[in-house]
Amino acid sequence: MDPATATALLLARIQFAANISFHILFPTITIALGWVLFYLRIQATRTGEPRFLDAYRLWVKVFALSFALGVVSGVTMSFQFGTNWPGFMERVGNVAGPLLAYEVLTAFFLEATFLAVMLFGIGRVSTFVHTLSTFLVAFGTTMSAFWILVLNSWMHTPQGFEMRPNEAGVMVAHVTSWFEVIFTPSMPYRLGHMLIASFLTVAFLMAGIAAFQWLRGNRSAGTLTSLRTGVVLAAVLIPVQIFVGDLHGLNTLEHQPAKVAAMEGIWYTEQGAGLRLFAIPDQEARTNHFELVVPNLASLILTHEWNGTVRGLTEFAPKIPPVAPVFFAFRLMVGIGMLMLLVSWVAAWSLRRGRAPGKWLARGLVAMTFSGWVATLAGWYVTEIGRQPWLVTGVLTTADAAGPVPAATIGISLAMYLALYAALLVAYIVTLFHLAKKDGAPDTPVPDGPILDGRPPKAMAMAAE
Amino acid sequence: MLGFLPDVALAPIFAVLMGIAMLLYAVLDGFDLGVGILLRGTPDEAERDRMVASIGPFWDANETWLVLGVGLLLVAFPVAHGIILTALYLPVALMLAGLILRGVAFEFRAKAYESQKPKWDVAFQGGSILAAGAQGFMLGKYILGFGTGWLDWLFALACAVGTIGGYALLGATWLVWRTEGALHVRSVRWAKVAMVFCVIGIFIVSAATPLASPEIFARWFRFPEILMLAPVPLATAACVLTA
Repeated sequence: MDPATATALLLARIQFAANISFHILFPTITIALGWVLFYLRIQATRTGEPRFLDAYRLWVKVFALSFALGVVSGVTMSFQFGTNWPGFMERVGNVAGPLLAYEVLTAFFLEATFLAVMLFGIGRVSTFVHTLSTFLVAFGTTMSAFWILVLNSWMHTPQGFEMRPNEAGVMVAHVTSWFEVIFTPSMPYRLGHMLIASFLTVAFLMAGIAAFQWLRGNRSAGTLTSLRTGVVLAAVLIPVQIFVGDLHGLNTLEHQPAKVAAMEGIWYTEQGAGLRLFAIPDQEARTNHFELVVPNLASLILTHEWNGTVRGLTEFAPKIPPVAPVFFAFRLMVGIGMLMLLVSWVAAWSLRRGRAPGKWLARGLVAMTFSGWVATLAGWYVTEIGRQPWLVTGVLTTADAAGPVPAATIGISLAMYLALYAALLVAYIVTLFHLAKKDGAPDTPVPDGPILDGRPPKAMAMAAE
Repeated sequence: MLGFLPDVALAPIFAVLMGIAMLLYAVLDGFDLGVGILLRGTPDEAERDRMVASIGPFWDANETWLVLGVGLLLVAFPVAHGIILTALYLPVALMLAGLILRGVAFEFRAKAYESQKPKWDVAFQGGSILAAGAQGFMLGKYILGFGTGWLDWLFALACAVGTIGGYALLGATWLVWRTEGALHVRSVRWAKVAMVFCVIGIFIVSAATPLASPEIFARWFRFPEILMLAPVPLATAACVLTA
């Protein structure tokens, strides 16, 4: 590959990584937050306690804000397939196209249609319609995640297709079994791991924001409800996530062993491979520097045998991923997972039987507010960089999917996207805390939505019928 | 997919579906973007709030048609999808930046600090103008077959201005329908100004299209097709004359 093409490829990859990293932050929140809102809505009706609706009112605003950011960054992504990766659609469009279309049809329309009722519906439509709308939005968001993860899993562990040349002689994937395309070996693990990641992200977000309100003196019942819901959700789900994550890892070992070798930093096939707690992988020299190793532990975790064989990266060369980012991202994800376990269990114990949170616990929870984001991104970097140089494992390399757009042009769009995303991320976080502060102030009535004259617009009445 | 139909039927069917999706997008998100284009035409924050509220429940459903249209292009004509989106790389990127700004400004202007609101209004209007202009620019490039000469650029820019005017007209008429009082009166005035730009745009595109493509020229000015097409320019002319 000549240097100009290599630069263009690198810039296109950075641009896609930046886009998808920015995008995934918001679905990670909305997928689980939809179900949490559904829970709060049900509890409000069941118990008749206003605290559940108080919590609902704050979190539905966070949902709306996150949803808007998710929609606009998602639209950007769908365009980038065409602008930057035309080879992807040309070669595997028969698989990817319909899956993306299912996502739009089954999920996006559902979400977009019932979102307005969910956002502005309290007091304007019946409790049943509002609860139903909340359910349909949560369901639609989850279906979105399902179809996208189906496609992503197919790219990792493709099956149910055959390659046939088209008129131009290019080998193109043709589906032989949709069942096999949808239910790939890695799909159940990836879906489970991601859905739980979403719930953990929301759990720590809720606990963190509520702890922030608590520290500022907002001790309302709604705040405590958010705090407790977040902490309990986190404490229950983090052990489940560790278990599911382990299963996902074993599944990856079976289907993408090079990725696991990179995660563990194992260059040469070993029996009784040690667990590298820390190392600096050296791609050129195919070795690690400054290793800190626990003997035999990697073999024990991966093969469940003390002296089990773990295949090293050199067996898969030259088709191996860049090792250092995979290696470090994996350690970051696991490290945050352990921290989540510690914080959520300490918090759950401290809050038992209606106890109030202490100052230091609240501070700890505030510090963990965005821990779910960091862990989720780190996890995606492990799995996506770990797949390189393949875009679709064994079928299509990332380089072969890239388009003819010159490096300078991609550079312009990349700079524009980076500036935009950085600004929006700052605005999002600032606004989140602003909403939390405003929520606590008793003298400022919290408006229900942007309709300011208090009169239900015609469209709302129509949507409610 | 659709195995019961012969393959030759699929291309026109998908082309029609795509056309419908694009048309619905242009009309539906057109009035959203139009309201955005007009947003800072009034200095009154309460009026701006009413303008934004009038499209608040609809915009993301309307934007879905764009995703669907591009999705259909991608599913049915993957090669064309790659070629078109690569040729239009920068205008697509600018349109997306515009749609991002417009979309997030909805939420931010209502939820961010009060002092930041005017800035999000700028983002709202700027994003709407950018998205509308980029769409018009792409239309212009597409009509002339992605030419890169200065005349192609000039034509594409004229299309951009025409599209901004057209969307502003849609937005203004939407506001005429949905609002009362001072804003209603203001919207009528906006509609008249926007119409001028819109008509110029329609005229330029209508004149250039048959000139750029002999095939279209033959089709437009051939009997009996001209009978089926004639109502469009006649209706436009009638609208302009009565306005």
